[in-house]
Amino acid sequence: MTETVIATFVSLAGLWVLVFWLYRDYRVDLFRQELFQVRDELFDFAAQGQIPFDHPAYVGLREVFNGYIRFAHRVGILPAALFSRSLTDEERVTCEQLSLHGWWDSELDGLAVPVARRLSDLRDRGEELLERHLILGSPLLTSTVIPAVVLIVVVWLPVAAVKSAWRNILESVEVAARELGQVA
Amino acid sequence: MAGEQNGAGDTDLGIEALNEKFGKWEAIAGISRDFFRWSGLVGLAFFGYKSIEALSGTTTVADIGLSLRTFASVKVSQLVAWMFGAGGVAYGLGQRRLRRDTVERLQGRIKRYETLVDPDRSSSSLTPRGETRPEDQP
Repeated sequence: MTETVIATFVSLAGLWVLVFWLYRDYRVDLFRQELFQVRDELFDFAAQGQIPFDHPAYVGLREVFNGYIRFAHRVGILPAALFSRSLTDEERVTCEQLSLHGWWDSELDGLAVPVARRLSDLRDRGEELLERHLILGSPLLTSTVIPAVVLIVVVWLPVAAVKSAWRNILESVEVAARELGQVA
Repeated sequence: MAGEQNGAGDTDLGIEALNEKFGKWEAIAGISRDFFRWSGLVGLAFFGYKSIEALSGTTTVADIGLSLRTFASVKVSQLVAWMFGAGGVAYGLGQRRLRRDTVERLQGRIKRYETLVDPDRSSSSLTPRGETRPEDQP
């Protein structure tokens, strides 16, 4: 009995450290690592001569990645949501103008289509990483999102597969019926 | 955060105001995060206390001492589970240290190469080991 109590207590204390320190540190390091990878690709792209190093789109994108990397430990879903909710209309307009979406398209004007597409792809990847960091960086969200994803994979995909198979059956009957109808 | 961006038409005043506002909400979020964190520990301590209280009168210090000694005779499956958990944490921490050593070893060369190609390159301003700078800590 006593050893069960001690073992449970030690295990819970270990879980507490894992959830509130180690997991958070890991997510920050992971976010930074993945962003470094995308930033390196951006640098290589410019180093190949595809875009000048002083092009505003390159400079802006690199600075955004640098900001994410530097402040990865401060970025969380809660402050971001509270900040977003608290913005006045005027501040929201300023925010939109300053965000990548606010000036991206105008900066890409004049660039070759493949170059613009590649830059947009890198920007989108950075945003995806940010989204993942915001959701999975929170132990609370992680403990709700992961079960939800598992549930979707386990339940929804078979349902979708059954629906798709059913649709195939209906379509084949439809085609056959049309063929028969034409003959008739 | 917004101060790191360099989009067309940005104004320093707007960025500063937004940064200040973000900082305020960040501080509030930090307080609530700390609340959850430390209330978890308090809850743990409370239930630990209740466990001890429940054992008082039925379990003596000698029993607890005996129980600690009986850790030597825990089931093999339990021992394996504990070793697995502790080993996983130790492995993770070891790998992290290794990764930071590697970052420290390689970042100088990468930085030199990039500066050679682009003398005006901007930096993430992390420490040479890829960690948060002390002045950026909340």
